Parts: sequence; C-alpha cells; structure tokens
Amino acid sequence: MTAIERMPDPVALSPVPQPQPPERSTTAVLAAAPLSAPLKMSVHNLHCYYSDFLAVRNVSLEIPEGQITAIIGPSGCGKSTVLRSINRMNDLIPGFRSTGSIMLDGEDLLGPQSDAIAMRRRVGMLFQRPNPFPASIFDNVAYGLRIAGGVPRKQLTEIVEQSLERAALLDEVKDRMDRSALGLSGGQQQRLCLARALAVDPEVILMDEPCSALDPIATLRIEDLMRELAGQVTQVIVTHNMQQAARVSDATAFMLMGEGRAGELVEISPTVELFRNPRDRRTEDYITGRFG
Amino acid sequence: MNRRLRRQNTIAIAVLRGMVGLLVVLLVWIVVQLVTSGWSELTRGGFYTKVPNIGGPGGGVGPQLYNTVYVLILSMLFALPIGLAGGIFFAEYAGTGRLTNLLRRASETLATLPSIVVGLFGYALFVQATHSHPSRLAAALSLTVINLPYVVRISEDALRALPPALREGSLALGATRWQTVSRVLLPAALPALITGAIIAAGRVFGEAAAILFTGSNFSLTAHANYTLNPLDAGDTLAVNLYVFRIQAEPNVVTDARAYADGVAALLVMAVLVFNVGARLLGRAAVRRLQRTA
Amino acid sequence: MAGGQGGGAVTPPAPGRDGAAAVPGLRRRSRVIDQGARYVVFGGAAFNVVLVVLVVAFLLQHAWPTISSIGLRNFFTSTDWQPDAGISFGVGMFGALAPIVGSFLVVALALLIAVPFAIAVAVFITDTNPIVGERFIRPAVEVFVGIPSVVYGYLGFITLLPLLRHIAPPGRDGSGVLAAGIVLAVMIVPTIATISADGLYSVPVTLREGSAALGATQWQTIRRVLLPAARPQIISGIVLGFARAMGEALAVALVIGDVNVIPNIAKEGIGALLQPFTTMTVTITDGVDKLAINPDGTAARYMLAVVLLFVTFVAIILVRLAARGRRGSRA
Repeated sequence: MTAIERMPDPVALSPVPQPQPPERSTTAVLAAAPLSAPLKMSVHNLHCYYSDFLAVRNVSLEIPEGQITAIIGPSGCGKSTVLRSINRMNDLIPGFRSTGSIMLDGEDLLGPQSDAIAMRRRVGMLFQRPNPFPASIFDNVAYGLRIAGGVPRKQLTEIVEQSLERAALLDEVKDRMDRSALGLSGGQQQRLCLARALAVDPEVILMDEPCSALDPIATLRIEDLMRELAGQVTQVIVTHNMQQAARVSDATAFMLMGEGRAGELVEISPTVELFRNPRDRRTEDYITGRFG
Repeated sequence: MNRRLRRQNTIAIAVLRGMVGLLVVLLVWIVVQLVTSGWSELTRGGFYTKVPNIGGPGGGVGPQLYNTVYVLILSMLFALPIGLAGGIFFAEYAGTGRLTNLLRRASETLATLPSIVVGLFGYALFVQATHSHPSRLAAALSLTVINLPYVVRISEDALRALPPALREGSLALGATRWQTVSRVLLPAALPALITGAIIAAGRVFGEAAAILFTGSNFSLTAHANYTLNPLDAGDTLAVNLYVFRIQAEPNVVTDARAYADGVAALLVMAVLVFNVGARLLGRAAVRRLQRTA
Repeated sequence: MAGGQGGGAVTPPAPGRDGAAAVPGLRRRSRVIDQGARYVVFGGAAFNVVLVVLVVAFLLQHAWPTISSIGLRNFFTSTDWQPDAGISFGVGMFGALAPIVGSFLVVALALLIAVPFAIAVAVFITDTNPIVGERFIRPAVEVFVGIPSVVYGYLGFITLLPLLRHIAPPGRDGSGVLAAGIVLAVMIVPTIATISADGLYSVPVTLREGSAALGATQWQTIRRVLLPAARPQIISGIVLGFARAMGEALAVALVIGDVNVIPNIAKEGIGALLQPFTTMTVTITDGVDKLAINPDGTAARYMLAVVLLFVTFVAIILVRLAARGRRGSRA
C-alpha cells in the first residue's frame, strides 16, 4: 500500500458533516502544483537559539513564488520557530538569536543592513489565535496602511473594502465596519486578520497554525481563501494537521525533533511526492500515524 | 517614509527613557539631599534620646521617636486582629454575592479616605465625643482607620497565595473550615503576613495629618517627655516636622534648620529600612513557602 | 474569585456517619468554634462598613451647622473667609470658594505634570526596558511611595521655594500653586505609574505581535495598540492620583502659603501661580489648633471635609464604572 492510500480520508475525519465535499478530488489537488516557479524566498542553514538552547538545527528550505508551502511535524519540532524567524518575529523574544541566511528576492533578511520593519510589510503573518485589535473592523484593516503613512482617506476606504472582499468577509461586515472587531466570531476574526494582512499588499503571507482555534467549517473557508490567493501571494503555512497540508499545499516540508531536542528538517518535496513516496523512513512513519 | 518613521521611533523612545531617567535622578537627589543634610544630626547620639532643647543646642527627637513607635504599636494592636479577621473572611469565607461586594467596596473606600478627613473624624469621635483631649490613644485609633484596609488586603492576598492543595488536604481529613484556617493556613501564610505588616507599618510611620488632629499639642516642648499613659498627648516624628516648620520656632530650638533636617533624614532612613527589611523578609517568605509547598 | 477555594461548597463529613464516632464531645466543640469563627471573621469584614458609615455620619453631623446657619450658597460662592473672626468679633465669614478653587487648580496642575511622566514610567517598565524596569524602577517607585508626605513638603520648602523665588515677581517667597503642583506631581507619579503598568501588563502579547507583524515600529505599537488597550486602567490610575492629590494636606500646606485670596490670573498671567494661595485641605489644617474653641469655624471646616469626601467618592465611582465598562466591551 502506498502512503497515500494508508492516509486517512480528510472528509471522514471531520467531526462535523461537511457542507459539501470539496469539488476537486484529493489526488487532483495534489497533482496540480507546478514546480518550476521561481524562488520567492529561501532559507539557508538556519540555526535558532533561545539563549543557549539550540531549538532549530540547520534548516534549509525553498519557497517558490505564488505557491503554498506547508511545514508539518509533531509538536515541539521547531516549525513555528522557523516560520517566525522568516519575518523575524522572534527578534521580539529576549535572548533569541539565529545564524544562517533567509533570502527574500535575493536579499538576506538576517543581514546587518536589513530593515525588519520594512520587510514585515512585504511578509505578513496570521497567528494561531486570531488577534484583532480592540478597535473597529475598519480600523483593524486600515492599521497597516495608517502606520505606513501617506494614504489618503478615500483610498484607505477603497483598500479596506477590497481587502475585506479578498478575505471573503466584506458581505458579513459591510454594515458594521465601525463596530468592534471583538464582536465577530472566531472564524470571522481570523478572516479579519487575513484582510488586515492583505491590506498592505504583501508578497508573502506566513500562517502559524491559523485554523487550530477554529471549527471545521471556518477552517475550510480559510483553506478556500488560501487557494484563491495562490498565484497572487506566496504562502507558507505551519500546520499540525497533515490532511490540511495535503489539501492545500504545493510543497510540504517535514520537520522532527532531533538530537538534543533541536528541530531538524527531514525532507521537503512536492506534496504529492511527500505523501505518496516519502523519501525518508521517518516521514513515512509520521504520515501513516505511527507516532506524533 | 520609512526613515522618518524610524527617526520618530528613536526620538520618542529616547524621550521616554529620558523622562524616566529624570525621575530616577530626582529620587536619588531627594534621598541623598535629605540624608546628607541631616547626617550631622543623625550621627549625633543625643539626637535619638534627648528632648528638644529650649534655647540651646544639642536637643533631640527622643520623645517624638518614642511616640512614633508607641502610636504605631498601639494602632497595630487594634488593626491587626480586625484586619486579619476581615482578610480571612474575604479569602476563605466570602461568597460572590452582593453582600461580599458591599463589604469589599467598603474596605476599598476606607483605603481612599484622605488622612486629614480621618483626622477630623478621629477628633470628632475620639476626642470630642468622649469629652477628652488629644491623646495618643485617639491618634492610634485614628491610625487604625487608615491601617485597617491595608491589613485586610494584605491578609487576603497572603491567604490567596497559598496553594489550594493545602486547603483541600486539610478539609479532606475532616477538619472544619476554622481548623483549616487556624492550624494550616495561617501558619503557612505567616511570613507573607509579617512582611505585609511591616509594609503597612512603614506606611503609617510617616502619617502626620491624622495624628495632628487627634494626638498633638502643636508645640515642640509641651508634653515632650517619655510617658506610658496612652491618654497623654504626643507628637510623632512626622507631626514634629510639620509643627516645627509651621510654628517657626527658631528661638525655641537653636540650630533650627539642622534639627529639621535631622528629623527629615530620620524619616527617610526609616522608610528605606522598612522597605529593604520588608523586601528581604519577602524573599525569605517566598523561599519558605516553596519549601512547604 | 472569592468562592474559588471551596467557598461554601465543601463540608467535612459529618462525625459518626462513617462509623468512627471517636470523641463526640470534641467534634461538637469544633463545630461550635467553627460557627463562632464564621461570625467573628464576618464581623471583621463588616467593621469596614461600620467605619465608613461612622466617618460619613460624624462628618455630616459636625458640618451641619454650616449648612443650617450659614447657608450652602454663601459657602460655595463667596470668597470671604474669616472663620476665626467669630472668636474675637462674634461673627465670622464662611465663604469657601477660594479654597475649593485652589484645590482643583493645584490638582489640575499636578496631574498635568505627573501624567506624562507616570505613563512614561509605565511604558518603560512594561515595554521598552522591562529588565531594568523590574529590577530598578519598580523598587525605586516603592521608595517614592514610602517617603512621608511631610518630608516632600519640607523638601519643597527648603529647596523648591528658593528656586522659584528666582522667577517670581519681587517680594514673593515662591510659594503658591506652582510649588504645590510640583510637589504633588512628584507624590502621585508612583500611584498613576503603578496602575498604568498593571494595565499595560494585561494587554495580551499577541496584540503586540500582531502590530509588529504588520510592520509597525515599537513606538507605533505603543501609541496605537498598547496605550489604547490599557486605557481603562490608565484612566483609573489618573483618577486615583487625582483623589490622592485632592486629599493631601501637609505637604501642600508647607509650600502654598495659606492665603485666602484667589490669584488674579487675568492680571498676572503665570505670576498668579507664584502667589500664595490655599486649598481645602490646607484651610482645614490651619484651624487645627482652634478646633475646640471655635465651633462655627470648625463646622465650616467639617463642611470642607464633606466636600472633599464627596469629590473623592465621585472619583472612586468613576473608576469603578470605567472598570466595568471595559469588562463589558471585552465580551
């Protein structure tokens, strides 16, 4: 039996009945990704330290432009650390440092001249739990534009509405844009955060387990949005849900906690390949559910 | 655009740090200024024991120092039991209903009373209504009003900080609520309670307005002796400083400025001692708690 | 929270029911003590209420003569304050407008100076320099709090006033609203800073991350996300600082000059701040040595205390409303 046949059916696993089964069959999705896209970002020999503790060892990844790259692996394997290193969010943690290089369009983000703040307008992020600001829906989406400055009011409104549209939220909130974002449901809040990230027109969006706090229906909506955005935006998603990775991504990286509790990259392949023919024994063990 | 924002960021944070630095400098200056000005008096042994000297140098704040401790202990004698009882109530017996809410609000309200208002109240109740004169007892009772909310809060916090396992273990063995409190919880919370009592004492040490209205004679020299009778009037250190300044009696005590500097320095030193002492005790308390937990 | 630790829900197993009725007498006594203890601790808590009621009652009772014989309108609108004239001349004047104006003026100035510094300290401790903030600034703030108010007043008298004399019009000794405002500001910075810092601490980390991830600078995150999110607590801190400044007596008395004439701001501009003035608390204090022999003047001073208490209570209620409002909108 190949790995993909042993893999549990994503539809059968959902505790809530699906509103409708996905239009495309699973295999078709997995086969669809073109692999000759240029590299938007790449990670080379990344090591991450929290003070003296080595959390991530020698990770190298390629992130093709316009595609969805997933990082999967059991808890604690360092996948979030890697993701958050890409947009240098880990800089906020005292005692954190990293070595190696992270290239965005040929520029090393970890280099001495690199401007993290400017970079974060090109590389956006969605978090595990939706984190809208305690402000109105409009102000949330407009935030990124306002801090960048120089956007006139009329254009602001246009961009806000466009972003909400792209996040499939506009219809639900268009008559209460001035009300607090905290009144939205979990799924709506996450879409709001997506709209907020999209408003600054990023080239890359990083997603750190964006659906883990959401119910299955909200999850599928986010996944649909990811597919819509593919092509316009490069996406990297960390997920502990293999089926999700199989559903949405073009390429998948598998990480594992290795020696000394430092996370390592086991393999990265086009998603179809990874799930059908994993190169590494450990990958096969993971996706067939032998551990993790 | 980005450069402008970066510059704003750098400037704003630098200004912020500068303001904090200014405050730190101010504090250091205050302490240094007071202690050095009063140093000559502080190091003179007679300062702590002698009475204010009329018309001559070499007086001291002995009686006032004595009174401060006297009134402090007396007021703690009242405030600690009542406050502890209240704290135990809030931590162990109270529900979440409206009555508890009311009681809590009352305690918080007491804490926000200006001390001069407490002084007037103290005068009305402990001096006027009893048809007596200002006394240290009246002062101590007024201080109790000020002290009580602190002691309640400290007791409640100390008890709440205990691990629930302690409480549950005792109750599971068939102990009554009170047995649990008196035999298990209070002993375990003792270090935190003592620390809290020291902090509360420190706060009251510098209290002047309430005592001014209830225990003072507004004179440096009248009743400036060591007595034991709580019905005697007496000034505490802080009151002394105020009365001294206001009465402007430079001809009563020579070296007037040095004298006042000495009193101020003594008060500051006392605060530092209370603060450091409470902090050290607090650390020891935490260590002991971790051993029993 | 109050009922969290088995409040009311846990009762020990009844004696004898498990078969081991070892010492029935002892058991009964324990229960009696337990019941008694319940009442005792409740009494301790209820004592607080009794005290509050007593304070309000006594103040009102002693202030009553002012209301009945002098009249509230005169009290609040006239500046003719000679409360002790009654001793010598038989009739006193009790217009308290000046001290009331003075209190608000001084406290307003103190807040104006203190709030920026206090918020700076709070942001410093929680965001820009948390390591230094926790180790050095917090203890420093505690020392600030511990210094007795009389000492602040005394220090203001011997160092601040001479400084202000340089910029005051000739003939003035530097005392006035400005001196009092500065001294009070120093005293209330710790209050406002501590409560604001607690508010900033409680802002979830993920909000800070969300802002940073959108490319905000640290200052932008502070100004646009952190401070607005902590606004209810910051306002609470400011109101508490207001109440504390309103009630401060001796420190203000030492530097404000105690003169019952409202400075003419129109005529003197800034110089008005350097003219001796008074506040409610100072006016109450300067009658302390005549409490027994001047019943009318004393009643007027009790009336001032009632006003003071009223202002403090209103402030506390505002703080509670602000706290409740925030909890409501968080839903």
